[in-house]
Amino acid sequence: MNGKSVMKSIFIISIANIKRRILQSILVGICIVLSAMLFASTLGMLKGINKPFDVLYERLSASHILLFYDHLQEDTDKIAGWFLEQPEVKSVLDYVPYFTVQEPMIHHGKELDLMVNLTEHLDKNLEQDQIMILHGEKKTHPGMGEIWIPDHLATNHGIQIGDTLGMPVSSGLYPLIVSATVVDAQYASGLFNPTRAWVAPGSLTFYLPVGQLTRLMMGVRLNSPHDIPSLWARFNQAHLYNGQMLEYSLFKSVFLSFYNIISAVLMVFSVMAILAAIFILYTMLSGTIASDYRLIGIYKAQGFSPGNVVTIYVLQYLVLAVVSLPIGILGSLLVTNAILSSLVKSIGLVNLNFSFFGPVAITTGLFLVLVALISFVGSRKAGRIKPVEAIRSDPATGSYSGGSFSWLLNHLIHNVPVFLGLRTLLANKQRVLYTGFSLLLAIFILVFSINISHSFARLKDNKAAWGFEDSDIQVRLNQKIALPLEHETFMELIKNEKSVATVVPYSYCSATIPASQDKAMQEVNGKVYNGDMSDIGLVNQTGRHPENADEMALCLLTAEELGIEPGDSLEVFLEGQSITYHITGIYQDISNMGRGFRLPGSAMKELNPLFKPEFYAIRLHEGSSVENFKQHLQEVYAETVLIELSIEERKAVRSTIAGMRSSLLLVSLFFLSILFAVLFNDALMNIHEFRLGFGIFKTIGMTPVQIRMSLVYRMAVLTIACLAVGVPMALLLSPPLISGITSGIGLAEFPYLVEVSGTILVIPAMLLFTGLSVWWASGRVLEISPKDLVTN
Amino acid sequence: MKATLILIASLFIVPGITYGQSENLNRRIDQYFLDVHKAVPAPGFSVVVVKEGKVIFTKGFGVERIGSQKPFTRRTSTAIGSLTKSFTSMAIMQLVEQEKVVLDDPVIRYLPEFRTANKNRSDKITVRMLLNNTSSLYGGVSQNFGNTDQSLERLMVSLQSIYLKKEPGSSYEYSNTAFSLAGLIISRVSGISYTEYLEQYLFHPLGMNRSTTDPDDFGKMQVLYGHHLGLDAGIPAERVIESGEMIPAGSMLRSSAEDLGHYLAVLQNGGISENQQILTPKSIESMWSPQIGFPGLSFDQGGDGKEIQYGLGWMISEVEGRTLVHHGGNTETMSSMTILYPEKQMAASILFNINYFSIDQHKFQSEFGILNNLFHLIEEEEATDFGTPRIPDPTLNDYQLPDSLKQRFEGVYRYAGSGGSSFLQNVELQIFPDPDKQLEVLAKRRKTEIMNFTMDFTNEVNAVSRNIGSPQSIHFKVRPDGVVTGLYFSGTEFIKLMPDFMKNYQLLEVGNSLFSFYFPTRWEATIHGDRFRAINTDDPSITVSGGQKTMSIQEIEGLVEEELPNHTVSFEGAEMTGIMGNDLWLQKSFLTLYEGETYQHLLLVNDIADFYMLISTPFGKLTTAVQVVTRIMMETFTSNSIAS
Repeated sequence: MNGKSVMKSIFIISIANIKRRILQSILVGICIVLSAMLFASTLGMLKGINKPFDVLYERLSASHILLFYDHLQEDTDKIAGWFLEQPEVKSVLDYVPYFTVQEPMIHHGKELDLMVNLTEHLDKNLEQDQIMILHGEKKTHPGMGEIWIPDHLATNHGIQIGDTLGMPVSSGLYPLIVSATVVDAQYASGLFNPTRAWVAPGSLTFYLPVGQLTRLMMGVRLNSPHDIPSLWARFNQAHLYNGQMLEYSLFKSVFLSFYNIISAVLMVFSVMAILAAIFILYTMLSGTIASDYRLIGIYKAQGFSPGNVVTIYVLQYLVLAVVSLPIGILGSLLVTNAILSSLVKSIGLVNLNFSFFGPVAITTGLFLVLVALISFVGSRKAGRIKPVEAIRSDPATGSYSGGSFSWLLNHLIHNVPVFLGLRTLLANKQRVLYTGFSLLLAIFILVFSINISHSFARLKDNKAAWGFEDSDIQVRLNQKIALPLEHETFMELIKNEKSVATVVPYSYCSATIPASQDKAMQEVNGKVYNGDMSDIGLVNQTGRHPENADEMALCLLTAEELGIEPGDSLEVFLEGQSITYHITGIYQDISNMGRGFRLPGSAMKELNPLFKPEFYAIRLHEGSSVENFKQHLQEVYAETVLIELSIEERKAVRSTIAGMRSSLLLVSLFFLSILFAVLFNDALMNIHEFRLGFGIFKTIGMTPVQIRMSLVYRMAVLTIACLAVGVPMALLLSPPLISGITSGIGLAEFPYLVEVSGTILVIPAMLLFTGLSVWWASGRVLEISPKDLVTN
Repeated sequence: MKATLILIASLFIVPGITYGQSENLNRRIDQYFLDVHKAVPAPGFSVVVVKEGKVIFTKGFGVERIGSQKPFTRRTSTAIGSLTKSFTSMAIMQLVEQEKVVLDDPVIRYLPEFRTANKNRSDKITVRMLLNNTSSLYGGVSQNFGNTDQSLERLMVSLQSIYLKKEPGSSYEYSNTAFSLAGLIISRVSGISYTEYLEQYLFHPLGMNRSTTDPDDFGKMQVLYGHHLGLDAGIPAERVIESGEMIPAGSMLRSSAEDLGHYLAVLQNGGISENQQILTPKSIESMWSPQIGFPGLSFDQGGDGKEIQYGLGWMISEVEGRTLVHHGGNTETMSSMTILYPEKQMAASILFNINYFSIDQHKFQSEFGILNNLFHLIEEEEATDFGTPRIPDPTLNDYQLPDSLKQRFEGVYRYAGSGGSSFLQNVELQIFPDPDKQLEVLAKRRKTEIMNFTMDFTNEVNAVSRNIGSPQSIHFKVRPDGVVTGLYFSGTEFIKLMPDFMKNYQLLEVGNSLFSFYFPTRWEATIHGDRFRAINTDDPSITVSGGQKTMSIQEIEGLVEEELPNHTVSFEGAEMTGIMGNDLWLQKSFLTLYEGETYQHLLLVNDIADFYMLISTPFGKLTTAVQVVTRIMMETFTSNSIAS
């Protein structure tokens, strides 16, 4: 045979193999479709989520640097002039008046939980820092007495166009009518506090005393955001700037933080799906080769080389991949488009086309290579089969050829459907493996989602692990009264309270870490604790709490950025002095996105002998009522003590947690829907495989319900097995998995809490879900006609 | 010097001194206050002592004003501050007796428009809660509502914007706002203004003819303006801005020792003044009955850790085994303390021409301690140290700032523009070396000196203020390269001004230097007599005009007719007041239409100086123009010219 005819033969055999094992081929196809779909969707998400923000930034000509300052402190012309001279700068938007509303604005008698920077929308905003109107009349500026609010503020607080927001001013509540909800590139996320709202140009003087109108905003738009660090460093060398600065990467990271976490979760899941696909394909191929044993011997006897035999299987799987991949990729395009469209819609972008070439190319390439590799590795043993042995020997026994039909009939006494279910389950191990894996994945994701969601929701029971003080109540002393309590007096009083177990005073402070060879100078916020940090549950990932005046603990990302470990030293500029601290421990703290430091009170007292803490973390004895103690504090300490909102009571935290939980719910639903498809398909294939048997059972008197129930039992057994493996596996693997994802925001060890009841509930829920899915799909049993089957 | 001051303080706190029984009580009291006068840094004060319903001693000590020889007498009128709350309570109790007010009725019965942002809570506030400080309304008012009969109404309207965080009646929170509302109830129910009510139903029947809340009477009564806190003495103060909305809480009431003697005598006599029943004993008892408690002075602070109770406009304390009814009061530059000892039918008031409440109590005996020991003196008991801290001043330290570091702190620091103590708003701090090379600070509100102190550094960036007042913390913002960029003084942020800051401003004098202020150099100004007009040379459509003229903030139409012929007013903003520099400015913005174009204008009126400014811009440019010209301009407005 010449090469050309050999290749032709190989191709014909490969196609014939596919047709010969059509069910197996379909299974391989589905496996590739689903894993490719998940992988491509994740890649698409990761690639796509950046685009809307960047496109939004570009379309709205948003400033990459925003400066906020008092116009009497800074020379606006000088600063703007300097920026305009820099080659990196495209344009500057200056003299934008704004006012930070100090008291919450009122909507329908309730306080808005976000502070608002009321900013005048000037003609200059038509060029730079443009605003996109989502709802409301499209016009150049808000009218007098009107306000444009960001869409997230409207959505989160149920504010409608035409509603009135009361702005607290000296004369009461100044009414501002919401005339539009808008998208503002820098403030597109509700996680920013204060957020920004827009009012008519020149209108702030209509309701604010001119003495308070001292603040200006300046926007600097660059050719590229990558230029920010070097430009900002030069600016600080040239100017003694005292105002605030916010920049592009912060806006972007805050906006994308939520989507990034979800994408990372999906990426982990898609990698798991690929590994599963590899396993399934390899196992199926091995089974195929075993059953083709004699046939392969015949091929070889006819002159096929080992390479030719391997090529048959590689080609067979590649053909399946080529057919399946477009379906998976098409599905991923639909999913990704749907997700990104909702994101895009939320920020008002239209006609935004995403290029999925990259994800499609990567997915196609990766899966083709993977399939080729798996089939090549898996079929090498086929190449090694000796023709004489193979032809003489019996063909490998098919896994479902064994067993005695009479054995089954003998046992059709009381639990016919159960036995039938077990029989069909054992009949096709490969498909069981595949369906089982899908079940396992869904169970894993459900348990993962339930417990991660629970861990977020129960933040208040596990505060220290998140980096917060694990206290029941936090208070501070009111210094703006005639008879304020002194720190020492308060400590004496509070420690004698019967309900109080521990009090640890603490304060915030700020330190500067000087520039080093490869790092710019940075300002870091930290906390000083006048007491044993362990008393309020604080822990370190590594090392111990700082105890002496020359010791400091660093927050995870700060330590990582500085390349510091416990035992190292760090020079910081604190309280006007340069001090070198020994680093005793590394801790995690999400509150400052993983950055910061902790100092013992003695360290601060050495730098500032008059240092006094501002806050008090109070832990009550077991069984004491927090609400009663708060009431007691108000009654006894009256105005001297101010009770702070705890972290879990803050609306921004609550809404973020709610968002995270709904996303996990969506991911779970996505996987459940995939599982439903798999179960449905599995049931159909099972019916197809056993249609003859089912026809016979019908003739001997089994009802369709009994036959359907046999399929349900089959799946129940498989589900129980998967639950037995999947639930413990999820409980074991979830913590390291989520920790890997959250380490980027300062949580190297995610505070994982198990929701026992929820996790247990997964068991009946999955049984019910799989049972119902199979029951629905098994309706096809009703179509089986014994008469037709006998005729066939 | 620190040791000397502690010795002076100890003159009053050494227990064991027993006053001789044979000496004439009047002479002993006189001697006691002469000693007090020698020891305290107050330029002057007056006292009144009442026993069994009769004034047994009243006298003034020292001078009315540093630099003047005019003696402080029993008839000298000074600000009594929050003692006014007891007058407000008395007035309400009179209306209760007349069955015009019920203490436990909700406030909305008398002020139907009253509400906060959460109406469900504000509807529960009762009249009693206003008087016993449990209304949950916040302590002070940060805005200023002018000094007219409408101020209280404006205050009430402004409360719509606040959110009550606590359930009314649940706990104690000292509230000037609540007493102001009580004042408004008095006005609504009686049909006359609060100040008229006090005059008609309290001052007149009680013979308090040196007491008033009417600024028009201040000149006639030659009321004092008090003193600020200086290095080792007071600094004579100019009249500070007083807000009308806080009159019932104590912002305006002037009174004298002699008048307070009448007041205390009536309270001791069961409410009877010259056979006239001003108030029933039952009402007095109600006012002096504990309603709610709050933490008192701790042992370290010189107390005994016992709770203080609040009645209705009065505080009640158990001090050294006696029940005392008392109330202090302080304004920025003056203060008072009044204590009644009902069991022994004794009462006394002391009125200072300095805010003695802010005096360093580690160095000087407290107002409460002075009167408490007066009672011991009368009872021929040993003096005690009640009210004097028992622990050393925790801010004392031995840190010495290296001379090489001192220069970086020198310069001018300007109030950062928001937040912090209201006393320090619009204040400028000048830091300079004194002859001893110590760093001294002069705090000025525009051109008026309001405080002077030296800085006692506790490390390279932290210091405490040292003068006759309580030490305040100072924290400097220093960059790693050693550059000082600002400071926090007593929690209020200040920014260090760069030396070339004023180069963009020029001095403009109007009306033969009658008014002068700084103006941007890029503006061109023309002056015609006592009027001026300026245009922005970069954008001539932006103008500022003004000058001396009596004008009401409501007279927009008239002004438009005069200054903006053919313009039609199309929209008016909120009418507001705001303090800039040392002055209260009224402001109102409005839109006009002219030849199809819309213009924005801001009218600023200074009532006291009869001066106005009108800033006009094309639509959209008003705030920016205001920011460029207004603040510096108004902060530099000359107070001397106003006085003239």
